[in-house]
Amino acid sequence: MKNIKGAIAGVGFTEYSLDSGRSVLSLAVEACQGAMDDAGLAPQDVDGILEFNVGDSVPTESVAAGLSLPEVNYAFDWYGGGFAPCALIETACMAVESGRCKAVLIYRAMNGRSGFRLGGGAGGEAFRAKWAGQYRVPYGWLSFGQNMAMWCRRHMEEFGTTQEDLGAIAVTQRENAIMNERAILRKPMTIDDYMSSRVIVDPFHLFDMSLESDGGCALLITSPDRARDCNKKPINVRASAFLSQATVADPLWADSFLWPDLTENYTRIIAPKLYKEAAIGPEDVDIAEIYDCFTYTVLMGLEGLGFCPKGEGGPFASSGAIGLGGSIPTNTHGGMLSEAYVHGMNVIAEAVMQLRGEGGVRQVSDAEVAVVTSGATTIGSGCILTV
Amino acid sequence: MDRYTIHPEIDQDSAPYWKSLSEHAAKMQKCEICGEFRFPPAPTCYHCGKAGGNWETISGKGKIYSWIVVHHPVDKRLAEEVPFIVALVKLREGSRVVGRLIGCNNDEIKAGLQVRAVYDDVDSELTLLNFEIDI
Repeated sequence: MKNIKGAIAGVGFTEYSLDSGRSVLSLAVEACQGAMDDAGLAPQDVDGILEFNVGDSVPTESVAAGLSLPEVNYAFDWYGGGFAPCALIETACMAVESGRCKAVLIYRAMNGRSGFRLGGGAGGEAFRAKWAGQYRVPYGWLSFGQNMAMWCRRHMEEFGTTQEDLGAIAVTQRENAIMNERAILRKPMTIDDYMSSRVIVDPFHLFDMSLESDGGCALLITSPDRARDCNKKPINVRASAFLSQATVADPLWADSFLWPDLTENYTRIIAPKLYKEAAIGPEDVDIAEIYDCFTYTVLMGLEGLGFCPKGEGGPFASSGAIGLGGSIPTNTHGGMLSEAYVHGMNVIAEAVMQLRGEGGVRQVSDAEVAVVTSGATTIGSGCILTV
Repeated sequence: MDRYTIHPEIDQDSAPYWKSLSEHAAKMQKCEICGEFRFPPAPTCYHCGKAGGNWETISGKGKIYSWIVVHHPVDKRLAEEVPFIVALVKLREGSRVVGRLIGCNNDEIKAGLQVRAVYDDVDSELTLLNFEIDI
């Protein structure tokens, strides 16, 4: 493999819950403090801080103050959704590589269930009939779940993907969540439980959809040299890529009007860049942590990242290939479907835990190479992480 | 119960489109340079990046690209209307547009099915573009 862009030296979590009873600021600070403690770094060692939000979080300067960081040399707050986590890793690596920063925190913190409900309960900007939303919302197409269901149907029509295939993703991830003490949903679920769950927006049932939850998650990125002096085994960022496309003056809706083919997402475009930069292929990847706001984004990711041929994601998922004992263990923590919805930051955190060998009873043996993604549709990012 | 419709927040780019629906003759911009239609309305062509374009009346005919059946209304003011079908239609002109699919059931629908536009006068200010199966 080629050179290392940066290293993840620390991971921090809060408890994930449906009602934190706390401020988003306290969640963000706790997650960041956790990442610093995990790495063994003090406030004077950290001089960069980045986050993303959709108007539901706390700004970096507040969190930097809460952590008593004495000197912040680079900070920004990105108004955006699930496409951001891997892109923030990439940005943090650039800040470290350029010499601007010694170590950079990235975080996502939200009261996504008890406060601002991105899924629709709270309404808000995402559901206004403005920008490209004006051509959808008046017809009752209001939510991200409806958007993803529209994408998914096209895949079912073209390739014969079945409801049971989607269910296999939800059921597999639940099996993983049962082995994860942080996960919110740990009740066993069968394919029959999935099939008989409420239809929210056909073709999606309740368990095709991610949780809404409260919590915070943070990562600490530094140079490979500095990471070697930290507490934990460094996890190296070997490749990163980011794509932003076809959004039509519309920061809140990945666009379904212009993207040419709703049976594939950004992973199709970034995967070759990731593999080229890391000088590996999909056959070299041990685990995949794929952004899973909905079951269907996992399916597109499996195909886009080259773990199975295009159109075969459904049978591939149903075959057991994505389970802990399968050819490509996927979303080993239960993902956002069953662990918690921390907007994809927790998806990356799991990759770090697995590569360190800290996966507990759900640890994938000899996990040395992970691919991680952030985002659902036309905007997204990804990284290849290694031990 | 009265029907509830969330009205579009019409802007400078979209105003001619919404006006054309109220006149029951949907128009979209066609690029003068490359000849491609575009939707959603925008100051420049998505295909070649050139500004401008002429508003031309479209056929209103197309094929189902994908569809959903909304059971959970998300906005509870729509609770009386569910279930309803929302379709993403690929128009003959090449662009995609959204509308309710009316007069049919979920099990009759397939991708590729021919549909035609139906104008739905919501109130004095708003007309929506819906679709029905065109056989």
